[in-house]
Amino acid sequence: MSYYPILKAPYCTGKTTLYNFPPNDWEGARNDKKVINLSYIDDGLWHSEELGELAHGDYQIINYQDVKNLVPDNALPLLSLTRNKLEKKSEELPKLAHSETNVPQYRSTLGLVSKDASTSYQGEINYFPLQASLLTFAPFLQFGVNIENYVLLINLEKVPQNRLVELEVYDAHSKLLRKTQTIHGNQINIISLDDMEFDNQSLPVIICRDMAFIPLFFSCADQGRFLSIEHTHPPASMVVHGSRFSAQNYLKEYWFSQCKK
Amino acid sequence: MMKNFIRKLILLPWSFRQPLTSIPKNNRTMISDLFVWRRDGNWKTSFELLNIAYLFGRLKLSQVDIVFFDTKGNIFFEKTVDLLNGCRQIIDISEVLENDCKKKVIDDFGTFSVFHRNIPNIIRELNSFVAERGYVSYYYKDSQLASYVHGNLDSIGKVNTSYISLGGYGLFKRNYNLQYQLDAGCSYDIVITNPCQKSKKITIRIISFNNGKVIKSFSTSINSRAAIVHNLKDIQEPCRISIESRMVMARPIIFKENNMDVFHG
Repeated sequence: MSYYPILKAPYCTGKTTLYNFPPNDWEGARNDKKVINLSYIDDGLWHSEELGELAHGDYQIINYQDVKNLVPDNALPLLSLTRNKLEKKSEELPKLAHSETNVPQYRSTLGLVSKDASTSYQGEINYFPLQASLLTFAPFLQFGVNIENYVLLINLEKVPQNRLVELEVYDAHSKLLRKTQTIHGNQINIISLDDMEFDNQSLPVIICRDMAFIPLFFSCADQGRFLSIEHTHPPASMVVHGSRFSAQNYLKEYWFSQCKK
Repeated sequence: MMKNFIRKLILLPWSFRQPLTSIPKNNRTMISDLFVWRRDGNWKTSFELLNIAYLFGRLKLSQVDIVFFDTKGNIFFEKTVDLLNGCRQIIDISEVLENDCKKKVIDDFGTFSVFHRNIPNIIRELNSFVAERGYVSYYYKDSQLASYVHGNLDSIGKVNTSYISLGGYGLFKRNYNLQYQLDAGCSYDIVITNPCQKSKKITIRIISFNNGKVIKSFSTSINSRAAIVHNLKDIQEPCRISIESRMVMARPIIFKENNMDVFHG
């Protein structure tokens, strides 16, 4: 099973909906109640605590406000559903049981809610290996009066640290560097995309050579009156079958060598 | 171990030789998802076109063929677009159907696919295929923002002028249970495409979270390469969606009209 983060973004609060029923009826998932866990980093350790139980067939909405007093400021709140209780303190991210389904895996609804609007996507997060990197092409910038664009970069690693790495943003056409920013592991990093003079023909290239992230692109208008969120694909998704991950490696090597600081 | 073996044995009728999608035999096949276009009074559609060949280092001119299917899954229009290198190209699908298509389009929705003509050599060397599974944006009424949805399936292949549907299906019906809670008082459109070679029957069931009972049910057939849009209004209580079909994964796109939220199920 996967972890489900509670998102954060400007003008919004996070809202994650968990489901205790399988996404299909033919992969033999078990029909039993599950424990709802909250995990987070504090004082260099992973902490996990039980928030309750979820009966089979039921759902549970958990807002950031519900856990705000349980997690340190800026810590990434991670939810999970398990049969057994997780260790209260651990030096590695608690390992969850394998997903009971593959087509697709269990998901939750990861949402953002403002005073006037809400937006969501169906998602989950698994930990990334330390050697991983990020390359993504981002065609989601929206333009207009009072519209703001951000990329929310979510990382999850086993070790309970907030490693510091450097994010680079380039223009895919000129391959010129537009921005660098220090970002953290095991967090949701909120990066503005409005300060790089991109226009509606620009294709931003987002690179992190030392850490992998799930890149979520978030736009809002009138300070939250309208909201929009979607993730970009990893480069391997442009290719199917065969050695598609070799194609991803090829793309990363090519763009990492083309885009130089 | 024994338990796992028995479990796999029981699941065989739903898993044996029933992949999510099939692999094309011809390595020159271009692959695309089956995206949904909408152009009624409420919704407008655009597509974010990326030059995949350029991303793999090709600097010469590259092109895509955009192929439009009607509500019955028949091709009614094709358009070739020159790709820009390293730039974002927003194709206003609603405008293309209005202005470029010689035949008057009467349908409010349909599907389309995007085939990249120029396949980088490295892709063939890896026995892989380029697949367009990119991003569609939808505007609802006077919304200032578009809502984006990514593609996720290698639904259809094109070799020269012939097309092959790649979506997998099985011998027996199965249910896709959308892990999403429908809000009471909201209005939704449930959109499902058929990436399989033949027409497929589906049944959409709306199930109450309060008591687990089916409170609404709707059955129909979807032609190959077509889509259906099922409108859901007057939800009185928190519910979920279950979709029964022989498709390996009848994964819907959900359009939530209140707040305009569009996402892949």
